[in-house]
Amino acid sequence: MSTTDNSTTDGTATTDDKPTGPSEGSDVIEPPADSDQPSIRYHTEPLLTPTLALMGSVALAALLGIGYVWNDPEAVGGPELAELVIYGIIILASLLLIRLSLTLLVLWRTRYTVHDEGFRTEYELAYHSKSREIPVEELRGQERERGRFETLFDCATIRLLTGGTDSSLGFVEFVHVPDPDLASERIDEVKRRHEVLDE
Amino acid sequence: MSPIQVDVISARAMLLWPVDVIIRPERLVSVSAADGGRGWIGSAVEGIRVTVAYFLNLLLYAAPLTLAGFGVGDGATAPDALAPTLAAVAGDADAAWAFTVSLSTNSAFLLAGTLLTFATFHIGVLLSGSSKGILISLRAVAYSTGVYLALMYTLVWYVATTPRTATAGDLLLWMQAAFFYYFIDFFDAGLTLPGGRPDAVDASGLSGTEQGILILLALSAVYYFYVLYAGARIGHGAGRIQALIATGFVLIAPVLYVVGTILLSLYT
Repeated sequence: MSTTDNSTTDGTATTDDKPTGPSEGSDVIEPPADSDQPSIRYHTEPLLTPTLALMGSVALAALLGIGYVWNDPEAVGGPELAELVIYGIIILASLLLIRLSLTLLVLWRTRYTVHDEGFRTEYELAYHSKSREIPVEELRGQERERGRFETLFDCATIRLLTGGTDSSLGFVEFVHVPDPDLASERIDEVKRRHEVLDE
Repeated sequence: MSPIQVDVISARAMLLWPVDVIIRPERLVSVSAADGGRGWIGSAVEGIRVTVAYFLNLLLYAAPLTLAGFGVGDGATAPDALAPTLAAVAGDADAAWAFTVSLSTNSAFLLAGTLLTFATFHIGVLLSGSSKGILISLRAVAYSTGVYLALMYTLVWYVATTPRTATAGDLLLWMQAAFFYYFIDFFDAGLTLPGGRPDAVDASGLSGTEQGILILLALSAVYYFYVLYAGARIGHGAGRIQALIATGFVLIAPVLYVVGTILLSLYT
């Protein structure tokens, strides 16, 4: 899980190796000269630690709840009802942990890309793949959100918003981006570059 | 989008529906990005879609109960005005009429629960200042009641009518009475419910099946409130406190009802 940045101080990026596909260790990835693929300006993967911390919190809360009922069964109406409450907590916590594990799996296989023509989120897991992209000309703004765990682990969720309404694409979301300032900067650069070329 | 794509998405959504119901219930009330900012025609279509989905759920809940014989009265005869039509459609007009009446009776309880939930939830959303329209509340309530409240009603029906689960039935009745008596004692009202104050039930007599049913009942209640909370958070864009106020209003509605009934009895 790392974000890479080989850009120079003037904001332009180095392209010494010119690899042919996204890889760790380079910020700008130029496609081969004969390719019609756009240049990738930034790519990263979501941080997994906020989800892992949330899973730990769920497990801890469940254990605290079970411990409380175990120690004081009369609080819920007696030992027999306490047993039911404990089973209920275990089932609920297990369902939450299953769900968070699935989220973790998807995040583990997710990749965010900023390229010259748009912004893409994609994942591939167990022969199932999904991607979503908005073209650069549709970008109207960015929304950044930091939950408690995201603040703790210094990451953020960035939503790239479009201006459409009915049946619009809506937005693309970069969840738990490890370096949100850099990500926002790259997004702004691509947008500005597009506007300059468009004029 | 071609019709083939629509079919594929619908089939996938149907396959994922049980997963959503158990693992990620907020998906039931979340609005997809493609749904955002619809006009009034889109809103009307969505309203009809949610209502139809709800009544299909209601039918799925009430039809098995009716077929199992719940709520079926003896000697029901079709009204003269409807008898020829019912006879033409179903053959036996009286049997068709009895089935229709029973189906309506069995649906009425859940429908009443839905209407009460809808009214209290939307009032809660309005009071918390986070309302983004009645349609969003309708969606949240349709799914929370159409799925989870329906499951709770079914479980209570089963427990109340099956001899093997008599202890669980007595326990639920005792809890209901204890809830009433808590407020009667709180206001020192000196009222008694029909049947008097029930004795505490010995829960050690609960069988494994009864324990399972009671756990499922409690989990359904948790999901029911969670979907309302998620509806306020995701649909109405409410903050945590606002969503808790909206959901809390549904939760305290029975309290308000009981307190209101006691106060009316005391002062009238």
